[in-house]
Amino acid sequence: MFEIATFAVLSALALAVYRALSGPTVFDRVLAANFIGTGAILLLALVGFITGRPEFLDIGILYALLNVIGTLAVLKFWRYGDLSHSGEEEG
Amino acid sequence: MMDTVLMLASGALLIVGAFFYLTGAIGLVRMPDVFTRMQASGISDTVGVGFLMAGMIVAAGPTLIAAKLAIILAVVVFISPVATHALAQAAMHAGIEPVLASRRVLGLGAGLKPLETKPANAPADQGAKKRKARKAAARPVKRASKAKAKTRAVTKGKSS
Repeated sequence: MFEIATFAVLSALALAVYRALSGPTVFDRVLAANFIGTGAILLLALVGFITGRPEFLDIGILYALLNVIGTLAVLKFWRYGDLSHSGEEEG
Repeated sequence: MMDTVLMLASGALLIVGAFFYLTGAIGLVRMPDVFTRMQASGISDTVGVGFLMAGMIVAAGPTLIAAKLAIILAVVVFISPVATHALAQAAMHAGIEPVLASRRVLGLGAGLKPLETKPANAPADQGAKKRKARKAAARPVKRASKAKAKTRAVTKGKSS
């Protein structure tokens, strides 16, 4: 069962990589990157179960926290062109 | 006996989760514009991740591993809508118009209001162009095109 789920997640990641490479706008790429981040967390957990090494879950938690910060940072940079922008002038 | 039941339940949850996860990924590739793709990836981020994590929690039993899996599930479930919301806001801010099947637009404060009726696959979208031009006139800085935003980003990066 874990192998089947791993295969499904890997296939989903391949599709997301296609979308990230061919996305017409930058937002498609950001969305695909977000998707790939979530898929990496799932893959870490599943591979941890298959190989019997649950330490991978800690790395998964780290990835989950990094994923959202990366997404928000890219979006903010794209919107304001500057990560230190307060974001309040334009609302 | 109990072990077999738990393994079967975990396997079923994993299969269902894998199915939904793959469904969302296929939607990510096949949907027509960025907003519908967000909706498709929402399937994966809620139902897919939820079922997969539930399957792994059942397989792990009441251990620390299950607690860590629950933490990951909570983080993903709380943070994925935030990221999607920010992404949709940024896309709208950048001037990307959603692809609409009928000629309806979200009026400000007026809810859904029907526009003039046209065939769904009309070649030139005059209404959207007019709306864009009006918005550009109202907010010239914010409605900068993508190329302009790029140059703005570059110049800002240089000046700071």
